[in-house]
Amino acid sequence: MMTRDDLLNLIPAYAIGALDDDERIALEALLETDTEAQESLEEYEAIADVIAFTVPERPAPTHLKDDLKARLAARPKIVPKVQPASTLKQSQKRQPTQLSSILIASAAAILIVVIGIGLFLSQDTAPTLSPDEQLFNQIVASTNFTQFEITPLASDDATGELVIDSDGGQAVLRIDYVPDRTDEESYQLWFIDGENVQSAGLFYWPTGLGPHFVRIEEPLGDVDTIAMTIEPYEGSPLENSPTGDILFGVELKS
Amino acid sequence: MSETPITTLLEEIDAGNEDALIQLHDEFSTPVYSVAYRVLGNSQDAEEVTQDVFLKLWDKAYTFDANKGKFISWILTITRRSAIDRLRKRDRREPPEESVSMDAAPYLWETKLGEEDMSDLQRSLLSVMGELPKAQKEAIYLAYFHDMSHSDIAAHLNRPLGTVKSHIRLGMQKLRAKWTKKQTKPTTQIDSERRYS
Repeated sequence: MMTRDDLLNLIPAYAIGALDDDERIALEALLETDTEAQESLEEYEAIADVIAFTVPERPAPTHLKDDLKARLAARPKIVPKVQPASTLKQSQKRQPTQLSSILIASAAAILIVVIGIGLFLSQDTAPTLSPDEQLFNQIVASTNFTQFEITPLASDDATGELVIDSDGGQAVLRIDYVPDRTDEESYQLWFIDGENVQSAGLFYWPTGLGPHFVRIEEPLGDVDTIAMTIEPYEGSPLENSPTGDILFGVELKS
Repeated sequence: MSETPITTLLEEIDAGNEDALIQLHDEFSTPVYSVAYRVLGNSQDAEEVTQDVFLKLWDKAYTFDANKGKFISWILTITRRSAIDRLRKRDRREPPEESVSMDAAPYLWETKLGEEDMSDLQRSLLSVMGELPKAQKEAIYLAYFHDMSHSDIAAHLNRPLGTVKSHIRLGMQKLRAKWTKKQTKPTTQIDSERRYS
């Protein structure tokens, strides 16, 4: 059993990601409540930032600039949209015919062009907040709301929070950072209620770096924990069960 | 060097100005690539991470908060995290030889990344970092750049676990002592604050 002093001595290593899982979990429990530990961690994290500067300079290859321009040309500035898992899975079950696939693909292509034109025409306008972000801001601006921090699990750096309004009717999850997915993968959100696990949606953010805002549409009544995994593009192949490591959890009931 | 303040460039990126992103790429691709290469140990992966970092910047430039620190520290933190994510996916935790032999080549310390962009305090910390005993510096590097835990480092260096823990703690405590001492003194304006605020 580690004492408080033992745990405080682990903070320097925690700031550079050197702790083994058992030490990390014990220290994070202390960090939740101990102000001295929190302040110490802030200092060590600022110090850790400096270590990156010790890297010997290695000039970036010159072709990267043209490569970046080409990638930008193929990637309009798009605000990611959320697609509920249920919608996607229903469409899978319908087994679309080749003709309907072509029609869907054509419609998607037209939609992309329309969105692209819209984005091009609106380039001079400042970015607006998404409805989910607006709701998040509205909840945290209220005088009485509930807040739950994300607990990083498979991803040490996952950060964010869940906020629920005073009457429990509206909730928004803000995810500041999760690892990147590949083009063949999706982020899948899960509601866990004891033994029951239920998908709560698939997300296709272009990068893991947020903040990403997710409005929780369903009542959280019996949900114990909210979690996220990286799954295949169309979601976990298992019914009501993730296959990827759990990136983070939000524990609603202790 | 760009004369446009970083915050202005980031606002332009948010508005969809590709030239602003290219301008930042011109200025920061080398430090970003250098950190990515340090973590991943090969040019192909380092190039991919470098481009990913700038595409993240394209998507999320507005997430930079000048009140929380300098832009270069922020982008290098994103770079290190992205590179470590890639390292985890690649499942290759063995660091490249260069990372362990760095102390055998002291000249490498003479060309530190973005030194002209650093505050006095950062320069002081960097100086202390260079003076740390090799064993302490090595353990800190393996954790920071190669996502290695105490146990991983002990196994990699064939040293007792307790020794590795002490090396990391003592090395970081020396840096903190410098940090605390400097923080209590009146600070001087950072010469490059305009560009990186």
